Amino acid sequence: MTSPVRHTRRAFTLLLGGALAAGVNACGLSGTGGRSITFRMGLRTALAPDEDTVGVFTTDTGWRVELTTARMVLGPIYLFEKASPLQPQALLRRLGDVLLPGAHAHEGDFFSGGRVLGEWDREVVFDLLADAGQAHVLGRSPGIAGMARSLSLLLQPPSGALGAEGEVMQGRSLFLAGSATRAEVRVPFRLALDFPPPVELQRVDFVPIQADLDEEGFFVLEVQPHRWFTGTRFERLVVPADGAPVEVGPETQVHRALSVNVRRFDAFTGAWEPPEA
Amino acid sequence: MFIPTLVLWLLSASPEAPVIPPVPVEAAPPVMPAGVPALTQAVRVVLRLTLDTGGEVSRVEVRESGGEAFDRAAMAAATRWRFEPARRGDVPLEVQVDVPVMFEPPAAPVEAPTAAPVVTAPEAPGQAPNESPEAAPVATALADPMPTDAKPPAFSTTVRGRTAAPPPVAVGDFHITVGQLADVPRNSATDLLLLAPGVMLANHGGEGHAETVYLRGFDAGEGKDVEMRLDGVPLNEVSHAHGHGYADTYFIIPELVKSLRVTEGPYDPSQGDFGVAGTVEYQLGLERRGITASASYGSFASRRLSLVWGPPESTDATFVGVLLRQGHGFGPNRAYANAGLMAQTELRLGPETRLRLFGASYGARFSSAGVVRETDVVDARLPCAQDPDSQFFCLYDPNQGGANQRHIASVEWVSRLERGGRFVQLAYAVSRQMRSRENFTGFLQDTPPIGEAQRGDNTEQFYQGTTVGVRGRYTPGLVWAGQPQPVELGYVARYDNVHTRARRLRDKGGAPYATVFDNQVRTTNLGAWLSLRSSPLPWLTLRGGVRVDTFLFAVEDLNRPDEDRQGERIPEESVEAYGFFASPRATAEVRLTPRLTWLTSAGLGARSSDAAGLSDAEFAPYARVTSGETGLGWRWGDAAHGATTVEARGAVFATRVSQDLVFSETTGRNQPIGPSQRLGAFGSVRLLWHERLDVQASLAWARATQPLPGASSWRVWDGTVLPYIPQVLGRVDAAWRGTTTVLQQDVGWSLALGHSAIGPRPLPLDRYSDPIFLFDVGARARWRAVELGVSVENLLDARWRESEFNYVSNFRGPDAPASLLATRHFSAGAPRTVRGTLTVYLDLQEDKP
Repeated sequence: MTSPVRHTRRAFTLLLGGALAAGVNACGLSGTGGRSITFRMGLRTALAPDEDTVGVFTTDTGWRVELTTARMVLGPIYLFEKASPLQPQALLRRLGDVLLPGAHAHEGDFFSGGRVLGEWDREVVFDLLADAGQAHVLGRSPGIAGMARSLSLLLQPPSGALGAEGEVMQGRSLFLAGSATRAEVRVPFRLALDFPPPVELQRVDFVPIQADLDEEGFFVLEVQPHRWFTGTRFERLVVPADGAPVEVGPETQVHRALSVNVRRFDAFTGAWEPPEA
Repeated sequence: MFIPTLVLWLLSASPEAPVIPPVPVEAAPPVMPAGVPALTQAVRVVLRLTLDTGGEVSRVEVRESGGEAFDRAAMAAATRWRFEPARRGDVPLEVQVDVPVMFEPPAAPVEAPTAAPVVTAPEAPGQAPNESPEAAPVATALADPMPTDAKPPAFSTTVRGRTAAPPPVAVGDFHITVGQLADVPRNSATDLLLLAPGVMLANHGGEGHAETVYLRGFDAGEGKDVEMRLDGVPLNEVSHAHGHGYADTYFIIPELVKSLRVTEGPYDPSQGDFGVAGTVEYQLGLERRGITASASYGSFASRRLSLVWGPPESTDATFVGVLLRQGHGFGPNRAYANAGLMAQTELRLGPETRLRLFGASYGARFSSAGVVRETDVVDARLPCAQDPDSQFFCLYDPNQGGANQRHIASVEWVSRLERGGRFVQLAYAVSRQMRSRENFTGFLQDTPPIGEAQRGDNTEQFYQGTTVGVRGRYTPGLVWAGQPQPVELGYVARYDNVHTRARRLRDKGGAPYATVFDNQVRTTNLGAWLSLRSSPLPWLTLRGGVRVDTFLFAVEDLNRPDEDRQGERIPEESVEAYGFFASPRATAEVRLTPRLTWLTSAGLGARSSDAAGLSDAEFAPYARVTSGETGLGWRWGDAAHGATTVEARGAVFATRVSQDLVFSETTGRNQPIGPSQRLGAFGSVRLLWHERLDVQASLAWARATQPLPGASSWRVWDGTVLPYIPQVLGRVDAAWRGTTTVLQQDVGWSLALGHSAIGPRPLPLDRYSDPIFLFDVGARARWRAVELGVSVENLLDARWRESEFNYVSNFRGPDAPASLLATRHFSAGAPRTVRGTLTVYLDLQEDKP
């Protein structure tokens, strides 16, 4: 219950504040530069080229993969102002870099992305197949207006902060199940990936984006599972005689390929959807 | 060669003419002493006053005693009198005058027992001396002193300095007598700074951590841009681990602060290192003689015990003060306890020489809540109860706080020379130690060994050092073109030997695991100044001077790697640097009317280098400040207007700094950001009414920016606004004293108000903070030797943010994903705090109340 004294105090403070604020704000914004915004952040599973179903794609090795389960823990997600060094560049720029490469020997000079313009600073368990290619809205996020040119995210085992939401992951970072088919060969598989510390091995850096962040827009992180399977050789897996799914262990080529590919800069991408007018 | 020639030339310029006696200008009557029986006949006291060339009473002796109580009352009044000085031709002279003071019984029967007898002043205000032969002072030039066959004085006193402040060197040069405004509730002597316009104080480190001073658009940090002195003893600490120039004034006992001199801007040649935004000098003195013991208890178990003592036989420059403070603080992890002692003795070594011995000791320990993320407070994610208040005052890391020790000894020798000249020498030694622990970023800065989690960003800052120095000034008793004392020469010599270190502490256990920096620093600062004053026209006074400073830095960097590309090495390295800086300063004073003055000032100042910067060999030796201001000063009130005086000032100013420093959360100290500039204005007024009402009010505006690259230095408006620095500051201090009769007893009372208005502060991302309005009130009542008081600070119980920052932090834990988006952090300001005080005046002396 609010007391009358508190009401009076608030009214008094507002009165005085209004007078002072009116004087100061007559000059406009404070002039410190930058602009604070709030935008929505979401996740989406990208469709593979020429596909219309999420989780169905053909690898470069000719395997037709159909995922039946795909869950992962991801986050935080950081949107940086600096461009990714892995972003394709103009020929002249690349030539210049070859002739005069940048020095990254000094502390602080290594690519850090510069200032963070937006972020989703929590982990989230994402079911890649749940929304059939539609964006899953995580929530609203604070940010700074401006062009974000790269993003970075973390892949890690679910922490206690996730609570019950994380239980479905059973302590793993990524669950995939499905089947891979090539010609007459069908390989059902189950796979789990872990991304334990150090953080350098959990981070997905240098993801190129072009997002002109502004008030009330929508930034969607797109997961590209079809890129995770690049170079996978399912033919090296031994399918059990009873046809049960192959438990893809870390000793297998498929597991190693996925471990590398999931953390590649092109395993994810991002899209900015400005607010509707 | 120039100076001796100038001195000889000035000495030769003294003319001869007849002596004109002094004329009283202000001569308020003495107060009838308390505790004396009702008078049945008049009591006469004859005082011998020494009037200096400015017409101030510089010395008082009792030539004819009327009893100790009457002698003391007469002397107390005489020290406040002012005269037009005696003159020989146009040349003012120092003279002695004998003044009878009469205490007379009432002319009619007294109805009320409290009616006071009539007191006869020596002069009616504005009255010519020869109109009242009884009161006419008899002027005697010092060359022809008064006969000495009179009865020797029962006791005598010497006025400490001048009874009235010297004229300001700029509009922003404030000589602030605390006086009645001591009744306004204040936590510490630091809070007295609020009496100067354009000052805001903030503290992010707890009770015992120096306050951050905002002054004239400067975030002066804990002293990096404001020179602080205590009766000439420098308080800024070079290369302090928390920030270059760190100055902690918590050790000063507020009851012993007689006045402050706040010079805003570098306009006085005597201003030295760190005087970028200005200079603050605390001037000690205890006017109330006898013993005053005070005990307070209040909110959050705050306890305060003070004892100040000034022997009645001595001047206000002799005193002892002890202060003990303890409390739980206004939220978790804010407990504090400290003790301080200050003592000073003034010895008269002759009629014209005084020796002042001063010593102070202080020890403190405090805990600190540090800063919290705004988002965590809003979402109630802090480890406290979920209600908004608990979250607002909550904290992350309980291992924050610190401890202080400080010991000061100083000796000041003051000689009065012929014709009003003075020679002042001060020698001092300061021993200091401080350790503080602050955690601004949680778990972000550490690069842990592979396989380990972040160990935490709690940073321990350690500082231990000794400062010794001398400071002096020489004002020859010269008269040049009718102007007395047109020249002042001064010097400073200061040597610091300090060990300054910062280390990261483990979150668990608090053991240090990494060293941020570790320097042994030795600096020598030698400086001298010459100032001149001249009045080429009756309405024009020019003041100017130059100050020269040299600095020698010797840094032993103890935190170098023990291996480099060539193999093993000793992990230490020495760096030396030498610098020189000359700072010209000048002021033109135009007397538009007898009461209205227009002053225009310009000056250069400097801040010495931080040893931490030198060890990296990155910075030039100095940050230089260029400043100018122009404004008006108006004073109303003299003998013709009774006891009411009003003084008002206003000015506009512009300042440019070559290398500014701002707070860095990663190191917990200030780091360079390049040039900055300020444009601002202020106005202030002080009203004194019959020694009953004292009001001081000020309003200041400042805009601080980082100039655009390549922009002209005249474009002081353009640029990116520096965040956090308040643009509009208002302050009102008011105290009203009186007496009333309760149950046929005289009861003195006092009401006081302090109000701070802090306008919306610019925040990053083009935002403003909320304005802050704080009201502090106090009331006291005194009956005989006992006084009861109550004070309420933050009367409206506002939730306000004392400090605000915007940066990246991670307080979720060593394994939790970090937020990398800069966000607002703040330290909570104190809520409503109520205290009751019992004061006992022993060796009773008349006072109000």
